Amino acid sequence: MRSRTTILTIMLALLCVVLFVADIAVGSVTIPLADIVSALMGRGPAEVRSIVVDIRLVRAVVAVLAGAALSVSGLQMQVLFRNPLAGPYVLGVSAGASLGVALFVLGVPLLGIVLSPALQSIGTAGAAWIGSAVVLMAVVALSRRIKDIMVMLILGIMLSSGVSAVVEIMQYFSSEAALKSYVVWTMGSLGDVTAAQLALLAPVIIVGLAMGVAAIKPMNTLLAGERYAASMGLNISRSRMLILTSTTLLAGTITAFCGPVGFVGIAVPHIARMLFRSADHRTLLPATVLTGVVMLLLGDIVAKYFTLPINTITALMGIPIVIYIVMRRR
Amino acid sequence: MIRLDNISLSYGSRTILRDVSLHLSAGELCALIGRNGAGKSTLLRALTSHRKTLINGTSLADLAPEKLSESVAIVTTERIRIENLRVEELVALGRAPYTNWTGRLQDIDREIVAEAIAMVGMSDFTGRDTSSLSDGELQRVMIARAIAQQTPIILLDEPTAFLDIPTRFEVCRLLADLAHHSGKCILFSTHDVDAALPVCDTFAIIDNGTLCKLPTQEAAAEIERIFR
Repeated sequence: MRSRTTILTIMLALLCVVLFVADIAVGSVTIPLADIVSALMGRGPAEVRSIVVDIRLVRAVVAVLAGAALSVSGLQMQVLFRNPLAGPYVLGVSAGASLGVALFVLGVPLLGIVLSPALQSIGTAGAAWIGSAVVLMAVVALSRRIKDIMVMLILGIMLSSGVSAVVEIMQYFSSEAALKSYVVWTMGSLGDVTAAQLALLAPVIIVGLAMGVAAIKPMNTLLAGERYAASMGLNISRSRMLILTSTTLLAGTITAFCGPVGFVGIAVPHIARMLFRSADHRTLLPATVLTGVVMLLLGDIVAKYFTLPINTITALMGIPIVIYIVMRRR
Repeated sequence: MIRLDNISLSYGSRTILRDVSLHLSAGELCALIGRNGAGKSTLLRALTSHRKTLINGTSLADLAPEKLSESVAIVTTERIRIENLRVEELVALGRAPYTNWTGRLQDIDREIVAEAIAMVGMSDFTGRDTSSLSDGELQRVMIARAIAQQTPIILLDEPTAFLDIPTRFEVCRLLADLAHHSGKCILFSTHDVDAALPVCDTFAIIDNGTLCKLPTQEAAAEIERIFR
């Protein structure tokens, strides 16, 4: 079993490297591998260096971070809610982040306030964190009363629809410019993140992932449910707070900068479980990170190739997995 | 070993146990019986959560959760079936109070896990996915998890529920072995009086909000009087 895990980990890590390079190479202009290497080493024509380093490298790094972050947040939510269909998108956490962003992006211009690009970035991220945290708290409170998986999912859909309704009302009153920037954000894009924004996004995701690593033992203990976990000495409220903070940082930050990218969080942990045949989070956490990175890099390559929004690709990749899980549970 | 003195317990707004006391000693196997809704599960829960519970003379209020996990193990009515979680991994969760921050098992932990699995007669099931186990097999694995936790006290909520008749008797005999040969203090709630009578040392009987603990011989007559 250990050798299978090792082989799969190495294969996925190699696949990540190949897809990372391919993601940099693919675009409106295909750049050969040799030119990518030269550009990364600071050599070659300035325009190629600019495309590779300033645009495509940033985008590929964002894809890596988004894949890792959304997948891990899905894994955490599936354990915390003991619900195989939990994920930041289906439980309305992305919708919460959307509401936060909508209130900020559409609301601030309505108040006549003009912000600098840096403040705009930080404000968008902060609004998404607050929005996702509020929804997560609401979902946690509801999940204590409602144990039925399907009811929780229906509530997640209702929450998303409610948020959409509020956002639509705000859109009605918004200026064309604010409306456009919000609509573009909702389409989801890994390419709109600038190097300066990445400097804010990357540390937050690394902190979120580090908290995820710290939560490995609590997550394993929580597999048996909260009552057992408490009887095995786990501080439930502290562990729940650790996992929720990590999830909020991961899902909220990616949603803030890349828009609501759906079905990665729900599907990737299941692909990792199927591949690695493990429920141990010491195996599953890195497996989920690698699988998520592969999915997002692959999705980004396809999105660039066909000039499509990333969330349409991730939906097409993730939905069959969700249908498979639902059908298998019947 | 574990005791509660003069406490009242409520379920929601309803008081279901009034001014009850319970004392259990090392090596004692006690069956907790009573009608549905009488307060068996509530009492079991109180033994791991009520401030007035005393474990080896220390109140739960003064006992850190980590210390409590080294004193009391529980087996609930919930069936833990998790895909890709193997029997030995589920049992190894019982080692959580003793492992480092990642939950990494040492050789000694693996030995204890293997021993616990052997004690419940599930060695042949090592490597099997817990999602493929029957109710009876899973119940044994959950008891092995409690054994692996190496606590002097084990509390079980209806461990014989949903099991076929031979397995009910087997589970009761297993609990008797643990109490009488390993010196554990075991309290389990059950409706299977027939399976419990031959092996238990004492019975804690809940009736009309009161609790009385009796030696098995006296309990048999009392059960007959109250419930039949």
